[in-house]
Amino acid sequence: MAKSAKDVLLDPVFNNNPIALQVLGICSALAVTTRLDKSITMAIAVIIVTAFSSAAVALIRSRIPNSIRIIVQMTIIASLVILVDQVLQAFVYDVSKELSVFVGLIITNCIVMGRAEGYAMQNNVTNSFLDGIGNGLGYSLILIVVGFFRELFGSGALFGIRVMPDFYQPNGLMLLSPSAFFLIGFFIWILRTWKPEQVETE
Amino acid sequence: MVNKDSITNTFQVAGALCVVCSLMVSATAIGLRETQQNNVVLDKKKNILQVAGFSAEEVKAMDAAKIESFFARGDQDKEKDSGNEIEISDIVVDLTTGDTITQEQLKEKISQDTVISSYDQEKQAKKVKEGLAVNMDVSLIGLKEHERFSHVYIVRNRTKDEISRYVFPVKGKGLWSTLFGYIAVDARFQQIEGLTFYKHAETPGLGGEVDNPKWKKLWEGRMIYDEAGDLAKEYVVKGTTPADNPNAVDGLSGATITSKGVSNLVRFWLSDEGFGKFMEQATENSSK
Repeated sequence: MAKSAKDVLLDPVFNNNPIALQVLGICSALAVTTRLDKSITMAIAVIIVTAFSSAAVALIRSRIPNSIRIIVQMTIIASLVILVDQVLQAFVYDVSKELSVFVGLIITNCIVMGRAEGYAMQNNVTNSFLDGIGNGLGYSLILIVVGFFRELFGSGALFGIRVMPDFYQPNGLMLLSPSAFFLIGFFIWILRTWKPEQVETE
Repeated sequence: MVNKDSITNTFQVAGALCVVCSLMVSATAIGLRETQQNNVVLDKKKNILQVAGFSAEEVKAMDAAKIESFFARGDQDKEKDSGNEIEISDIVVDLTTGDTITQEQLKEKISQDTVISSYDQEKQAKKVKEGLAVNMDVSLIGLKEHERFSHVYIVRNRTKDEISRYVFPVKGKGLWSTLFGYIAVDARFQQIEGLTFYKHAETPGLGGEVDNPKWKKLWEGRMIYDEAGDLAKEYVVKGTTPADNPNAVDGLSGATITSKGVSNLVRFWLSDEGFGKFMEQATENSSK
C-alpha cells in the first residue's frame, strides 16, 4: 500500500493528526502556546527536527542494530535539537530565552520519537522526510491555532501588538495551561465532527 | 549485506554515530559562538536599561545601536551626541574596600588586555588565590566565593546633570540555579528602583515568575533600610506584604525557595559584603 508523496505529507495534518488523534506531544503544546510568536518558533523547530531525524534514521535503517535502535534514534534527535537550540540562541535570542527549556524538551517529544521508530525504521528516506514534515505540520497546526486564541483572548494582542478594542478585558485564564486543554478539546471536537471516522468506537 | 545485529556492527554503528553527531554539534556551537555571545552581552544591557528607568516594552522596541547609545564609552563618543536623556557609565569597584578601580589598576590586577567595558567579572568569581575573588564560609547567597571587582553602572540624567540611579550586578542561588541580575538603587541609596534577572533556570510558572513584569514592578520604590536604619530581614515575604512593611515585596506562590533566594541576595548585595562599602564612600564623597 504505497501512499503517494502528497498523502504522506498531508495525512498527518487532518486525518492522522499527532495531537488531535494520537494525543501525543501535549506537554509542549500547553507550555509554549501563550503567544503566537513562541508557538510559531516552536512549530518550526519541531518540523525541522522531525523531518531531519526521520530522514537520518531512514538513511541508516538497514544498519541500525535492533538492540540499540532506540539509543541511536535518541542520539540523532538530541543532536538535531541541540543544533536547533544553538541556532535559535544565535538568531532569535529573545524568543529562545522565553522558550527556555522547551526547545531542549523537543528531545522527549513523543511525536519525534514516534515517527522515527514507527515510520522511518520501515520506509525510505524521501517518504520519511515528508512524513516528518507532515507530522511537524500537524503539530504546528494545533500549536498555531491554540497560540492564536490564547494570545488573542489572553493578552488581547497578536504577535505582541494589541488588536482587541480597548474595552476588552484580557482573560487571564487563557494564559494558564488549562486553557490550552480546553482549546485542544474544542479542536478535537470540531475535527471529529468534520471527520466522524476519527471517533473511537466504544 | 552485513548482519546488522552482530556485535561488530553494533559497535561500528554506535561509534560512527557518536563521531558524526558530536562533530555536527561542536561545529555549530563553535560557528555560532560569537553571535550568541553578542546576544548575551546585548541582553545584559537591555536588562540594565530596564532597571535604569525604561519599561520592558520600551527596551524591547530598541535596536542594538539604540541600546549601545546609552552606554558612554569615553572619548570616542563625544563627537556624536546620542540625544538620550540618560547616559550610563560603567565603572569597576573593589567590593572589599568600596574604592573605584581605574583602567590601569584593572589591567595590572587582571591582565594587560582587560578593558573596563568588557571586563567579565563572572570569570574571576572563583579566583580566590589570585586575590581576585572573596571567599565566604557561610553566605546568604549560597555561593562559596564571589568576585572582588565588580561593575557598577552609573545612570546619569543629562538634562538635570545629576546621577539618578546606580545599578549593581547581583547573583544568588534560587532553587535550581544561580540567578543573575541587576538591582537599581537611587542616588542617595535609600530605595530600590528595580530588580531584574537576565539568567536563571527556575521552574517556569513558579520560580520563573521572577521575570513577571508585574512582580518586578513591585520592587520600585521599596526602602532599603528599616526604621532602625538597618537592612531589612526579608525583602520578599511570604504571601502579601503587610501595608506597614516598606521594605519587602510579595512572595511568589509555589516558589518559597526562589523567593527566599531573591530576598537573601538583595540583602547580601546591599550589605557591607556586597556594595555597602561602595555606597558608604559614594555618600561621603557627595556630601563633601
